Amino acid sequence: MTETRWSLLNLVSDQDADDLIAELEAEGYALRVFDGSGVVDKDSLIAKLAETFDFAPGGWDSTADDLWNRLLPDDDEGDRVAVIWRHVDELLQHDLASFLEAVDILKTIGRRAYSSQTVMLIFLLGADRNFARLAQFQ
Amino acid sequence: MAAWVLSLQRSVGNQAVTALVPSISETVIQRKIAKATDGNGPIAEIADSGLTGNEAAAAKQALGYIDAGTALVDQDWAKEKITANGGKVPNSLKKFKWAVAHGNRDGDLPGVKGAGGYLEYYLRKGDDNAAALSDVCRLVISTSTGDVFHTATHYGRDGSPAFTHYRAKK
Repeated sequence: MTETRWSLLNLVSDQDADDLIAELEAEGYALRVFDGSGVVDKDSLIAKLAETFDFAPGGWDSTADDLWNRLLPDDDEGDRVAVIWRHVDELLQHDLASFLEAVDILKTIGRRAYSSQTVMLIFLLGADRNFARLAQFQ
Repeated sequence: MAAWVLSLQRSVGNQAVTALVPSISETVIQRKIAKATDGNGPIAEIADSGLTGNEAAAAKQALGYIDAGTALVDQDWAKEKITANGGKVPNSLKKFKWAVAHGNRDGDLPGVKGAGGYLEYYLRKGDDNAAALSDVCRLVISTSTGDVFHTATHYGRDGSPAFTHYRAKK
């Protein structure tokens, strides 16, 4: 079976979340799943990220640093990790500025990690036509 | 009216220029322009660090490495971790930020909010390498001025201030 050639940032239909997770697990990625349900602004985003990934909520700079430490793989997790943000379209529709900031944080972490031989892929999952069905990535 | 006065009016507004022009020198005006048009300063005044004890020791050690241009993997404590991991850099060491871009996303440091312009360095917590990876103290250095800032509050998350000014450009 040939592995899908993912990009750093991938937009996938939320309908395919289970299949995506199964595929990434089969490809050996450690998974970080974030449920964006109810996330509609900066405060609710940071609060839910902090709750999900077990850190104290703060501003953008502290959140970026905490995500760096929580998302990147631990010593026993190899050198591949996939961040899956489900229902991302809720924030996208309500607070574009916070959405862009959050995506910038994730991409910055991913790019820096790649320079030290760690792959961190980002998957944004939503419901509208911006989010492609998984079959289109094969 | 002189061309530079017209230019000033376009830059900072007619009222501000009218107030400045009659009695003060061009040097002072230039400084005023900088003040009037510079919206990129830090949100709060940044105090001198005045670090003591372990915080001071950790910052001094890190700055010693930074000033000497010592890479993370060439520092003795990091070498021990790599050796213990069979010669491969462990993920926990990769997470130890050393010259990693800092975004200044909250605008607590001088410059354009969110534009970066800083490099970040984690500070070790004593000689316990494991604990070092979860400490909240960092140095953040301006790539343009060389000014060194210190946070002991995880960028303001754990209290105020977000940063103190540790050292001016060498």
